[in-house]
Amino acid sequence: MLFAQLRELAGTDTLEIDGDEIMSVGEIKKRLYEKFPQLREAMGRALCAVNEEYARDEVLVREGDRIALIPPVSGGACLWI
Amino acid sequence: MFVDIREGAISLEELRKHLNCNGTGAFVSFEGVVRPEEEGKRVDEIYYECYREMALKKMREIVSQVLADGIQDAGVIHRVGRVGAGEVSIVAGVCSKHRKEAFEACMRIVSEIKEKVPIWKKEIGEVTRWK
Repeated sequence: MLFAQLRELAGTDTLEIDGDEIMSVGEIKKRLYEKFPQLREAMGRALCAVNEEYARDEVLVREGDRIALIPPVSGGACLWI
Repeated sequence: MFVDIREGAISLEELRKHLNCNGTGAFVSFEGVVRPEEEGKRVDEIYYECYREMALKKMREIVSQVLADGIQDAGVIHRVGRVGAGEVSIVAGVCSKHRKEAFEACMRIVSEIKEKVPIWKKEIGEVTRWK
């Protein structure tokens, strides 16, 4: 799922990539960078959330999990995850 | 506890109806209003967008923490969609036995919502930009 400036930049609120049954957040981001290079800079500033929780790169994602890219929110640097 | 995200006008009066302030000695509230100017540029309105499920979850977590610290009741309503300059975008309220912890809790709720909750704002006016 994409929101705010990332959604506008992508022209869609969802992105699709081919993936394995279980992948890390970091691997997903890497594949997104490769498939959508025009979003790389904006995605680089975004955090990732899995099932409505902020998630670091090592968190594993399974089929059916909800993954969102979270651009910086207006009041915070989001350095606390 | 009362937490909500919605389009359309919001008010402290409505929020307070949802809170149990019986027997408390303090009610501290906050209204966030869209400023008509930002960094010298005119602002006509702000468009608020959120990741609703996660935003509600994070708002509940923030208010729950305040309640766990001994506040009797607290709540917050955040408006999304287009909000004109001068209109209210967020209301927060805290009922507590004494004023000091009520002021601190209200400040904490608003600050943490701005830092941790996935709600984004796009200024629309002299300049249009995501903030």
